[in-house]
Amino acid sequence: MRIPLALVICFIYSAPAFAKEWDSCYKSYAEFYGVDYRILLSIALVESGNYPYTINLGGKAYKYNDKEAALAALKNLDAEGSYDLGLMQVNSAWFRANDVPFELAFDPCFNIKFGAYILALEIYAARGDLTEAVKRYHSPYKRWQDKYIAKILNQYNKLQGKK
Amino acid sequence: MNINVSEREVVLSNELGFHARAAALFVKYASMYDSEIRIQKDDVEVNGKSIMGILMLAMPKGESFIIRALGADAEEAVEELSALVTSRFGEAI
Repeated sequence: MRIPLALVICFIYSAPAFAKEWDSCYKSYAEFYGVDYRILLSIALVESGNYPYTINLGGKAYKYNDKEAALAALKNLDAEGSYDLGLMQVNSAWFRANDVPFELAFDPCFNIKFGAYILALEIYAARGDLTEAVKRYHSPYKRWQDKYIAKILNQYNKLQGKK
Repeated sequence: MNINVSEREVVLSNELGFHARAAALFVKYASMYDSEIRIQKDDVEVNGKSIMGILMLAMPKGESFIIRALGADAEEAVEELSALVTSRFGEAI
């Protein structure tokens, strides 16, 4: 089912301000899973613009002005469908596979934790190859991967020097 | 049919929290019991016999969680698994 357009909120936000707000979550979960926190932040910036109330459906990102609005939109989606949720744009399949309530998708710190966990699994699956893992985080299909990793590396380079 | 259910809240007191080695140790002990073992942190519950499940919770030192067992040896399982956590998985202080 399509997300009702009436629920789609046009907004202006400051990604750097959000980045600062959840910096401690990026850092603590990056440390726990042994990944560079700037990689996590780069993924969030590329995937959702580091905006927590984002739903991507069929390649189109819908931004909502708060958690309640995002949850209301989520209820209108196909319960078995594929969509990406929150800061790290975690796919709905991960929530189902791990019995994680969808309501947690829009909790910024939980979403970062879930994304960091998935990236850690992909790093393991890619035998430690971080570039390959980041590609897989986004998609199993090569045709989407190359463009994506270029965006991530570009974003990561912008964050270089950030402590 | 009655199913024994036992549960206890425990706090992670080891330095590194529920990291991979601690999770592996927990799973090793949990798998010795016939009971289903679940770990609950807030709204998320995972299989206590799965390293991947436990690592998904990403729990550092100081976090509390619930160990829940369902089955004939539930009480014994919770007793021993709680002891494993409170003994810091055998790690030094």
